[in-house]
Amino acid sequence: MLKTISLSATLMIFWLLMSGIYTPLLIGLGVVSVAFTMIIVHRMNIIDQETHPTHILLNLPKFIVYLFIDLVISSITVVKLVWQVRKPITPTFSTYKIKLKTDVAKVIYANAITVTPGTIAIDLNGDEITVHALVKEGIDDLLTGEKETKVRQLVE
Amino acid sequence: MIIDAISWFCLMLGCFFCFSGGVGILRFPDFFTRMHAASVTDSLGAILILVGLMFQAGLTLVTVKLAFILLFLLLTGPASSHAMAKAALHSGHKPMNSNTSDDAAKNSASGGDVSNP
Repeated sequence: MLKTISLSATLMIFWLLMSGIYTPLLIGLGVVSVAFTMIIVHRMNIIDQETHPTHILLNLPKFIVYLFIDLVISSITVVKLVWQVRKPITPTFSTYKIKLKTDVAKVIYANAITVTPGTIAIDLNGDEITVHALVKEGIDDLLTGEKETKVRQLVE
Repeated sequence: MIIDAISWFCLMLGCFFCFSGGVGILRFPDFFTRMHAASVTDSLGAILILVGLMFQAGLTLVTVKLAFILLFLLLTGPASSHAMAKAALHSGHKPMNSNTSDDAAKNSASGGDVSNP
């Protein structure tokens, strides 16, 4: 029930921000659209921890700040490698085990790896993840497990 | 005036990152390494350009819409690059490993790009 309310509130806020025209007709149309969406979602029975993860909301700002700093640092590293003609790149392909349990945590972790330039998560099989990195240091950084800890803090 | 300066600083820096991404795509030796270069363009390049545009727009609904564009770009970017990398790997495209990368890097250092067959 709580999730239904929070999802419809999110959808309504999204509608209001997107439309920008606040006449009774358009707001009314928004309400009808949200109600219709909620009926469909309810019939499909797909609201749960996975599709509407409200439990991570509190820890989200901290994680986004961490991810943004990581993204800036690794972008600068890759741009340096682009312009430094002499420095050789060391593309590394490696598979290692992760300790994250839930699917949501694994997906967030894999996407966090891919969104930072210099590392791409290619495959995820059970608890084994395959990562391709532009330089070997990229893999070494991941193997220290800092990112994994941050993701665990986010979802738990 | 100051806001204009910050905005232009962000836009120029974003342009530089996008341009570097493009140069990286041409310069790096194989498919996977080129993808790393491309991901600079759609992460930091896109962030800086959109933030620069947000400063231009000020505190309006346009800024909110730009923020949504940024959010969806950052959510879909990893998904598409993951899909590309996995498709390449599945269709038998072997990534070059560290042992051969030294030679390739030397080649690319001495004269333009080296494409992996």
